[in-house]
Amino acid sequence: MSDLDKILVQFEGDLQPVHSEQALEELRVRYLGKKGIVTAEFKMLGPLPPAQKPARGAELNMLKERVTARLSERREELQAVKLARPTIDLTMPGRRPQVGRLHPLTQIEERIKRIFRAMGFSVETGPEIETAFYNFTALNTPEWHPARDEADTFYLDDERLLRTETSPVQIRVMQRGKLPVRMISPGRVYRNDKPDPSHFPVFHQVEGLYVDKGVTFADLKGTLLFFYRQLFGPDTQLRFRPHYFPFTEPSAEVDASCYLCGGKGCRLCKHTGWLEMGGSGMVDPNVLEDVDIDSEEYTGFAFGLGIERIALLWYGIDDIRLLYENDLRFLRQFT
Amino acid sequence: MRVSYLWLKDLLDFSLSPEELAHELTMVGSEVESLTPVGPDLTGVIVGYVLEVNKHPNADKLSLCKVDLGAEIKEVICGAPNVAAGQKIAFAGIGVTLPNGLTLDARKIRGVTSTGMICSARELQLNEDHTGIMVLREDALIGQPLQDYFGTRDYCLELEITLNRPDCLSHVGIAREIAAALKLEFTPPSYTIAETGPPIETLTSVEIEEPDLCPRYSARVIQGVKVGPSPAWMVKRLEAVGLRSINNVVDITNFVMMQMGHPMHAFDYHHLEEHRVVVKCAEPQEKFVTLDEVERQLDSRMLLICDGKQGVAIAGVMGGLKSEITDATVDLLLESAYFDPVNTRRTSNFLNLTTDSSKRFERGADPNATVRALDMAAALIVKYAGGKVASGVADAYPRKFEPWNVELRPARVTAIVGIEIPTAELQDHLRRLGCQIEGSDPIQATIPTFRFDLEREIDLIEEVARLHGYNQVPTADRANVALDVVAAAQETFEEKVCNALVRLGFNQVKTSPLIAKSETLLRDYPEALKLRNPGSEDMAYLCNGLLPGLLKVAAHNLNRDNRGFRIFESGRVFHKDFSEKEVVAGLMVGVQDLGNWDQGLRSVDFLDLKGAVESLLQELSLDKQVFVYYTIEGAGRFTADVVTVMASERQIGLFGQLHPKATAIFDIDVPIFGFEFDVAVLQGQSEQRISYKPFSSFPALQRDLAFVVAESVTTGQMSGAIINAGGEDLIRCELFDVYRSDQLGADKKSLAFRLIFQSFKRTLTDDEADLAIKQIMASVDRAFGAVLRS
Ligand SMILES: [Zn+2]
Repeated sequence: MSDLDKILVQFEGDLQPVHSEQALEELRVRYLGKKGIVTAEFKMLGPLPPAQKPARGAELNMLKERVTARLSERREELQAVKLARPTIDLTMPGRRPQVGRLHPLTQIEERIKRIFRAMGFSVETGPEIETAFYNFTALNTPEWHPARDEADTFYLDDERLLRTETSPVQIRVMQRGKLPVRMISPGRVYRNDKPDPSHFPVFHQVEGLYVDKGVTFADLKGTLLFFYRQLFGPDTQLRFRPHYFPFTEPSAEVDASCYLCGGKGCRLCKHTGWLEMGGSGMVDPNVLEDVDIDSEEYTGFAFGLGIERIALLWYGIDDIRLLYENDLRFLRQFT
Repeated sequence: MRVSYLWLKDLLDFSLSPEELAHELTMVGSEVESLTPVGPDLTGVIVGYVLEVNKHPNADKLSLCKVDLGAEIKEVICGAPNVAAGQKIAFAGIGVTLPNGLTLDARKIRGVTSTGMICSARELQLNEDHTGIMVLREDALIGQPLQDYFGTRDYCLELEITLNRPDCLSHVGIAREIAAALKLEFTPPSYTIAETGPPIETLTSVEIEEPDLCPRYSARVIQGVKVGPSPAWMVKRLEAVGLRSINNVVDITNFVMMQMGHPMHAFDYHHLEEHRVVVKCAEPQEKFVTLDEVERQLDSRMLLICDGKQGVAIAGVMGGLKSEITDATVDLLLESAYFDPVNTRRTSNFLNLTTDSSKRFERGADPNATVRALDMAAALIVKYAGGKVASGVADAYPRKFEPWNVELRPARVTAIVGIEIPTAELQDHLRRLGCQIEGSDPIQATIPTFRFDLEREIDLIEEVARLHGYNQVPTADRANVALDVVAAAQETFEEKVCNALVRLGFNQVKTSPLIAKSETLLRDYPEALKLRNPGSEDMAYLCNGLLPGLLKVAAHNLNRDNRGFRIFESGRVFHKDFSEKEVVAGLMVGVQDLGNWDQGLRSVDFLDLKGAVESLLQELSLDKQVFVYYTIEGAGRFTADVVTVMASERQIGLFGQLHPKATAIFDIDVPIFGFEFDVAVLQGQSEQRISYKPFSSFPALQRDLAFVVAESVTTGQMSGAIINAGGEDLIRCELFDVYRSDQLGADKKSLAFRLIFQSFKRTLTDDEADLAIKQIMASVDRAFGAVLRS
């Protein structure tokens, strides 16, 4: 390395920590000022033999240009920083593209559908205007059952009504005659209830059905346990209580251990440790026979759950009507 | 249905606490909705003995008493006039909280400290007596908790009895369930009576004209009763289940109903004309005054219990005022019948009159329990009201119910439940439910007539499964997967639509499809369907489109200071012919917050809406396949500037600004832009499978051209002409500026387009682009007189 190269290396080392114009000016004086390092080298040209002068002069000029260029580069950098700085207030709000949200009921419904799809259930839909046959008779509802009353069900005429559950879809699917059937039917249903914090005449249900050879109550328990553990967490426990539903026999109410307190008892579960989730059971043989399925050869289970109920529990909503009021201050919370 | 814990213990010896009993009942299917202690909480109150009563030194009306509590002696001040040495009394010490909520503390009264209190009956909320302290019986034990003196505290269990189990609407029914669940032996109590009166045939007769509606009617006559108060134990039992005591005879009929589940009625024998009973249908529009003093209009399908001349009770629902039991009643006719469930239910519904009796008959009573119920009632009446029971029962039973047989195959239990339950256990469960059992495979079960819900093998399977315990059934840990691929395409398409709109800034709403008539009246909507039995006028019609619900939501949010938003809904709409279809609709309202807070806010306009719709169609892969025609429609729910979106000559939707007359229905006075699409048609036009299309790797050339044209020439016309004339290498033509000025002239405008040329085969030269532009210029000049702006 020549002596001039050494000066250049030394200069670069001195330049690196310089971050103010004042320090830069001091550096310039140190190298290019009257008593500067580079200036001193020029002064030593005089005593050299004439033959060496042009080459040495050229090298020195190159060094001086190089140092000058590096200094002005750094000066520009410093000025650029100085210019930019006062115009950015980092605390100003960013420009955020507006994004919408899915309704909380849709979000819950999609979670439920995802879990059942993963278990090989198809998702089926059907009409909301149903006939008394599909909504009641085909579901084994006795003629005397109060669910058929106008106090419970909205009628359009003597035949037609607004479905009170999504089970009619299951009948329609079984009527296609293709077995096995493994399906859920999510959708909107109607009951003649006065709106209050826990009732609304319109709500959403998911009902499930599995008909195949060898399906038992133990399979129902296993399927629902898997589902509720996916929904509420892996520690969830289930409790099955005998009940009566025309569509199924044996029938059971399903309780899930409270996801909030883990079953110890809290306000959400009214200190019982359990949350009532919905009905279930083995499909009544009458139902199967009515759609020409041999009930000796095939058995099946069915279950239902309310999407609103899960939404209220999961999000801690205390009034079902909030879900249908659609106040954006409410809807925008469900990210 | 309410049951008393102690009443159940009267019937069955079991060792569960009230809480344990509640859990057990819930787990065998009679869900306990509440468990409440009966009567006041007497914790801490004990029996004391008054040793001495002295006058208070500083107060005439107060006495200073020494009370022996067994373990200690306390000095208390008492203001009651009846306190006397030698009495057993109820004592509450310092720190005890009385049933009225008062907690006692040591208190100085006129210089003397009282260390407790001798209680009156009212202070303990036992009754209203406040004339003095409550004096207990001699046999009360000093120091004994007062609750023990009164006996074990009772609890009332409120049960939800399912519709198929009317037999559980009684203490005997619930006791049978407990016994079956706990594997205890249970025999319902039986009552024997001495028939010391004259033969019943000499006193009355029963005639049934409607054997289908009344398959059985049994009656007994008791003469010489004395109507009066009921025994205290019976009053306590009835009050525990919420029944008020009336008199001994009426209380006994209620007691029998609550214990056995069989409703009964007692008539004053002398108020029955001709002293006989005829069961027949009412006359059309017959009027009848029931016990509750309400005159009711009957119809000819309602069953009426009549005497020789007229009606005396509405069968199975409520008795008549005229023949009710009064204090003057001496001779009784007791009714115990079986009425048809469906007809009882109809009568109860039509009269809007539900009673403890109608509830049991309409779900199904036991036709073979009528005489047992009569015997129980007669035995209790003779015991507590005196009188002689006529010998024999007037028992008309034209339609006899016999127990029936149901077979149960143990293998079938396994097939349904998924676990093998030993045959002996199956037999044992059924036996405890009251079935007679024979055989083992199949098990032949003879079903008692109070269990008409047990008709089929599956009914028995449910019984053995629940008694075995649902929670004893193993939980399958394998999935019984049916590998059957069923397309659920429409449903996933709807998800796709919703997700696309969310990305475009729209919030999903869910509105009630039940709306008011005024809301169905948007112009060019079809007529809406009306419910036959709406819950309210606000929710009497099925929505004929989604815009009404969305406009309601818009109004709600505008009224709450929300100045701008985008909302959408996807759901069914309904038509007069009962058809329904899936629609997606959305609104853009007010100030558009695009997140560019520093660029000023502005109100939504048509191009915002159009852009949103175009983006939606693109997200749904419709942009390439669909040609969109813009047409002007007659002013309906939209203003005249409405766009009809067509695909393959089918209308898939509309968008535009909503007509102010439409928004005014919802009290909205700001401009609202909206769209509506038919989901099924959208889906039909949507590309199901995306296939990759290669793009050119050669450089592109860009040319910006501004044309001056007449105002009447549209952007669409111009860009159409440019694309037609530009050749195959013109791959894009986009409007980027519109300019008007005095220089251009009043009816003129300048439209600036950016053109991109690119070839798949080679690098294009400037000459090639220039040539294409010459052709474009000639073409637009010819078609629209368009000239390049200089
Ligand atoms: Zn809890």
